[in-house]
Amino acid sequence: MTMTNIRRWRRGTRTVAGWLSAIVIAGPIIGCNSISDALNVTAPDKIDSKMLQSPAFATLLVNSTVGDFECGYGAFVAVGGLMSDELLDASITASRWPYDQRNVQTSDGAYSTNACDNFTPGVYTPISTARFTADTVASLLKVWTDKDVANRTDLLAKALIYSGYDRIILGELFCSAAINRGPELTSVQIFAQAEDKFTQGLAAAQSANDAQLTALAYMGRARARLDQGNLTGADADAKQVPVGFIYNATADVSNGVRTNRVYSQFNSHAASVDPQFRGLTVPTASGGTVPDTRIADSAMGINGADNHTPLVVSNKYRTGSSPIPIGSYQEAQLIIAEAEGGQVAVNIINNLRVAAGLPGAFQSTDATVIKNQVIAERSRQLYLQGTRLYDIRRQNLPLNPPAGAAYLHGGTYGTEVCLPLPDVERNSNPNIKPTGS
Amino acid sequence: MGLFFDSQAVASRATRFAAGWAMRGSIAFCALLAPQLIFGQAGGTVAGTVVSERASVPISGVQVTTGTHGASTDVSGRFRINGLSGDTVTLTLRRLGFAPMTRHVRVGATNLELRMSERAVELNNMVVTGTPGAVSKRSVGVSVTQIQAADIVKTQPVQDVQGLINGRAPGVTVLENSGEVGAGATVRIRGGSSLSLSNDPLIYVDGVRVDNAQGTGPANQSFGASTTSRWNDINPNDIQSIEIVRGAAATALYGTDAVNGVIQIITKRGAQGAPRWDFSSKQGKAFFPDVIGNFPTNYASCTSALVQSSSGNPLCTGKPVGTIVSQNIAQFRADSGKPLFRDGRINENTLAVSGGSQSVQYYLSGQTHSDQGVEPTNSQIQYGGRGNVHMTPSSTIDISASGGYVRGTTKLGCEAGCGGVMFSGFYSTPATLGTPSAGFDSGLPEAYYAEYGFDQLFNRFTGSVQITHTPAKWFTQQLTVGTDYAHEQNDALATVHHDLSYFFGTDADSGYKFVDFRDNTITTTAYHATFKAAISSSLTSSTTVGGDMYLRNSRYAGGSGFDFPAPGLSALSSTTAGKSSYEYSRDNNSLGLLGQEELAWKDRFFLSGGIRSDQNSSFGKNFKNVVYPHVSASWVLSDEPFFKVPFVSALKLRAAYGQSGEAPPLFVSIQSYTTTATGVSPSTIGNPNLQPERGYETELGFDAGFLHDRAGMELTYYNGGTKNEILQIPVAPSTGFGLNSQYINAGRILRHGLELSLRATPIQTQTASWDITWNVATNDTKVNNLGGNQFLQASTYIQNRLGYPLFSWFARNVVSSTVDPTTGKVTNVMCADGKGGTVGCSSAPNVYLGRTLPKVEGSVSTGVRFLTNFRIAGLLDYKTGFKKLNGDERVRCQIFGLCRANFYPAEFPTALVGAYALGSGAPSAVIEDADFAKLRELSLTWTLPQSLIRDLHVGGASLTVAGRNLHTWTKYPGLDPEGSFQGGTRGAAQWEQAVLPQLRQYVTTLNLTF
Repeated sequence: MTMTNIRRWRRGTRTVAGWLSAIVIAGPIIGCNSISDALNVTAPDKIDSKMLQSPAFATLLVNSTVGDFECGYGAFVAVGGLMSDELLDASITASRWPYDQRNVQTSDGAYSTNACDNFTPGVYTPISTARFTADTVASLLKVWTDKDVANRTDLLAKALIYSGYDRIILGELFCSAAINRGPELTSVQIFAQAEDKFTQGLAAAQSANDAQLTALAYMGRARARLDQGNLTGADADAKQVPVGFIYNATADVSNGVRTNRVYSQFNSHAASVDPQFRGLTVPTASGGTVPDTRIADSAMGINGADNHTPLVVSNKYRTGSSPIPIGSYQEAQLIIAEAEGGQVAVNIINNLRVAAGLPGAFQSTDATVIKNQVIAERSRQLYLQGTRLYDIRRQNLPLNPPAGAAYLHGGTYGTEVCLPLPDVERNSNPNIKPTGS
Repeated sequence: MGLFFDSQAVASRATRFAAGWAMRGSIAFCALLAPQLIFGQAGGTVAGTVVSERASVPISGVQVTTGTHGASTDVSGRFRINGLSGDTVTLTLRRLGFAPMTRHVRVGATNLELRMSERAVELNNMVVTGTPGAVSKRSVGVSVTQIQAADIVKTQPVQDVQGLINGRAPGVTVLENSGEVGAGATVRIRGGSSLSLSNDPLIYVDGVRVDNAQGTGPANQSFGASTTSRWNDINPNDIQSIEIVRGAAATALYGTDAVNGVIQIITKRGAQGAPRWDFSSKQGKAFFPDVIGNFPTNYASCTSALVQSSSGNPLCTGKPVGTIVSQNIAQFRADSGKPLFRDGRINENTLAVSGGSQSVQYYLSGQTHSDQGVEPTNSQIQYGGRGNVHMTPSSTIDISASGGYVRGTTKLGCEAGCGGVMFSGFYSTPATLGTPSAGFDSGLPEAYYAEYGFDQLFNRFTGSVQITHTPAKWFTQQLTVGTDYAHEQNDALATVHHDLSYFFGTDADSGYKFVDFRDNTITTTAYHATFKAAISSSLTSSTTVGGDMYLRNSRYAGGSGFDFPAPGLSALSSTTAGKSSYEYSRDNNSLGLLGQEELAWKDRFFLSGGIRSDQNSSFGKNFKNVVYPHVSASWVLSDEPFFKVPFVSALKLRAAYGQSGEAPPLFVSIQSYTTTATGVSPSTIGNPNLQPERGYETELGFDAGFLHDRAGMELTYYNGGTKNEILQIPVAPSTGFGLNSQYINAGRILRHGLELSLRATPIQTQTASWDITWNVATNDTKVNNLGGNQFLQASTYIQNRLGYPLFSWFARNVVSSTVDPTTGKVTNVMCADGKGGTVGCSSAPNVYLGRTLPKVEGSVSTGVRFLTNFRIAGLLDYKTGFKKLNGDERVRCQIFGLCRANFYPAEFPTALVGAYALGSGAPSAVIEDADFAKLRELSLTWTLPQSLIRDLHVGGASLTVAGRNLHTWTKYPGLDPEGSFQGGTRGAAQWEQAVLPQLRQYVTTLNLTF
């Protein structure tokens, strides 16, 4: 280094010193604005809820609540399948077993707060979220005008009908539930709310001339009435459901959240078809039997993830994109069969079998036999569609395996046919008495 | 003639030295000095090297004097004094941090090796406190622990920063997680302070705040668990020292986010002198000790299928149904010539050069690090470098610039919830003998190795520039700017292996890929100015004002997909189903302004106080800024004229009170929606009044030196807590916002503890010495307020409950059962009712079962030097007063029913059998005392004498043979009282389940100095 460079170096240090002193004086002044900006940050993946309360987002909000419902519905079907006798848990994940064991504790976080796409699917929170978003957009759509929102009435119908189905799930799967931090409601009270939503939705759908939503509203209300024990009302609504009607919860295997949740159970080797639903047959007129194709399954020849439970998968949902029916003509017919009984029921049973390519050879005049067969037909026709658990509950059907039987992973089977109101609701809701511990 | 005495070499060295001075322009001084160096042979000469007693590390800057002549040691610890007369002289050696020493030496002795001992208590050491530059420890009113990293790393088998801290600082708890190579630990200072937010301490490297994440990386343990730690990116070989600042009283100047303590890492700097090259190579192995003894014997009952010859089960075939059989899978594999684990490898090489002139000093280093774990899928390769430059271009300017870069790959094995050898092996069952699982629970080890991969690619740069300007004696200003950038790519891959579908089903049939990117950038800008004034001849004032701004941007992006159409594919773009992607970023920015006044009376009584005001981007819109006050006093009593206590050579009393805080997470204060696959959905319910947690603490203590500082003691008592504790309150799902908790300020926790450090050098002679240090710390916490709640569930079986320590175990406690002696059937299982009685377990309450964080932790380290050049050193650390959930026992005995107690219940206590019968929901039997003491390090170092290395042209050399994790004393029946799965996130790092224990290591280290 030459002396010239050294002089430059020293000049440089004086410059640094000068800058430092300048920073002391000018820094706070110059920095004020940029500091203020730095503290005012945004998140590219979050939306302020106030911003969404605009008619411009009406379609988005309705589509969103449908999405919330579909994910929650998939979880409802899967959990209901595990709790009832449709599915057998085959996982090694302890948090899942209480479903299968019918021994869910109110403090368990999984059933109450897990997301619907969790490996241990949660239902209470996802479906409450769907219910909230449906109610929210429905009330907004009632305020907004047709000028504000194109197809407003149709959107309103959809929001109301999904709000009704959200309540159906809450009522059927849970022993009690709450709405908007309100008091603890029994299932029957929730079904009554559902019926009201369907009634409103029906009116809107009819006003919008939407045949599909009209049929779905009838179907939903028939189910709400059946759940309340109002067979006459259920019968009347079910008769309004046209032949061939089906309304699905869509699924998409290319998207993790939207993948058919029941398919996911089998695909991850976490669940197997319960032995009592394997290899079922339908009698022929000649006294023989044929396999019941409505509940066809495939034995995979391997054990599930627990390495103990033989893996048998249902053929009903063959891919992660397979839709799950929300309501169908078949369900409506079976409601009519249950409501009317007798030869009407016999005919419906046989018609549905024939429509499925099976022999329609059921005959009986015994009311009890017919009723039991209607229940059995529901368990087959509506297998893994989310009706079985509430059928067991409302018909007081025997539990299988029975309560007290040894459970594979320790302990015994319980008696639960509905999930208790979770602690997370009880302890965070000012209108419900909290648990003691 | 050796290098040091080669006159030609000396002349050459002197010439280079002179050239260095010429470069700086100090020609006149050089002209005076050079002739003495080159030709100063007129009188006698004394020369040699000064090294530290403990690590034999050369010490630079030691003033060596004879009374009439003197010299200062260079970067290699060397000195040379010429022009001496007489036969002998008395050398006096002095350096900050070391006890002064005198030696009578012969004039003409030019190969001296002098060892200086660190003072047991050094009040004049400089520490970093948050104000400009470092300050003398005597003026600091709080306890600051300094770890002399450079000394430790040279000889001890320490591979990372967390290992360096472990056992060396009272009040700092290192909770190891997994024994996998590349897995990190969880570090807590004084037990943590927050119920809902992070309890990770802040880390600064050379004054710049850096990423302190302790659990990142691919989720190799399922349940979203990751095990790597960004702490360990920092090469221990580059660290000069680590300072640990504990508690709110000490961290007030660091403000928001400092409530969990601050760890200051100071990297090495060069010292004036010719270039000094340091080469260090560590080679060794790591292994799972006594695999067979540590693996359990598991049981099964022969079923009607297993007794058939077609089952192929060698233990059951032909036996009566119900025959109970057993196996130890580790023994089985060893007998088969396929041991469960291999020996891992440690290979670490570092080359550094340092030196410089009076005005410019430098330190440059490069490192490669290649470790292999005990599973073939576990390894870590890391390489990086550091360059530090320190310049004093003028008497008023001091500039330090440092930069470190590291990149590498960590490959993690599948374990814990993921499965893997620890899962499939530890929970093995004789029932699968004769099947492809061959006695394992599920997959064979080789199948796991082939099927799964969990990789992390990372690179990181940390750089800082610190300019200190002292234009006048009364004024110093300092500007620090720097950035820390950490990038991770985390891949989780399951490949298509149709031949493995028996074990892994869909994973093997179709595969999956998860890719997650994490970029974290922290920019630090800090300016502080200090004004000093002499109020009187005895009283001085030091006023500091300043501010700092931290801009932290964390960006996350990634995607996942399933179903590769063919084997061999591994790219995310090749998946055909279940695709999803995400991207989000978070800007956590803070601005702080601070002011502090310190009064010093006769340089022995110090009183300081100050405030800091912070704004943060995560505060609620109704809360603008927070103010943290602090006050402290320090009194060096031993400097008082009246102080005449025999044997007490130094005594400082100190007291402090202060506050600091922790900011809430970003965007939880606003009510928001987030995007979903079909639109938007409620996310957070919000809280516009959200403000930071406020930690507060009073600290009292003293530092004392005895027997001319050959023994020392530091004692600290602290009492404080956290108010405005942020609680994560569950939101009633019926609101629609139940997926995420609401953050509110409502809670309060209390904590207090004692920290004691005793150091002594009982023996010190020229040929032998013995030093010993004992650290012990207690920590107790109590939940004082939960915003009206009696408890909040923190994790599975862990609650924060009023009146109990943070993160305590709570569950049903099984106390008895009835076992039928004939059938073995268990009935009448009774649990504690929490009131001293019993109740049927189905209606039993959750009761307190113990702490998760140790109540007492400490260490004993000692070193013995003998035969002049040999030194044995050891470190034993211990933790007591806590319980651990033995998840391995839970899975084996409560879930899979593989334990002896499941088959021979009459041999076991009824409470245990009852708990096992209840299944995994009754964990009291497996939440067990986990007190332990571990022989963490033991080493033997041979510092090669000059006579041996002289001809090798080596300035210094040492060879160390060391072991790590050599023995554990514990009653804990699990595998390792330090093991924890889910990267420590489950069970407050006290849930051990299917993870590798800490591996035993044997390492040979060669250090060469040129």
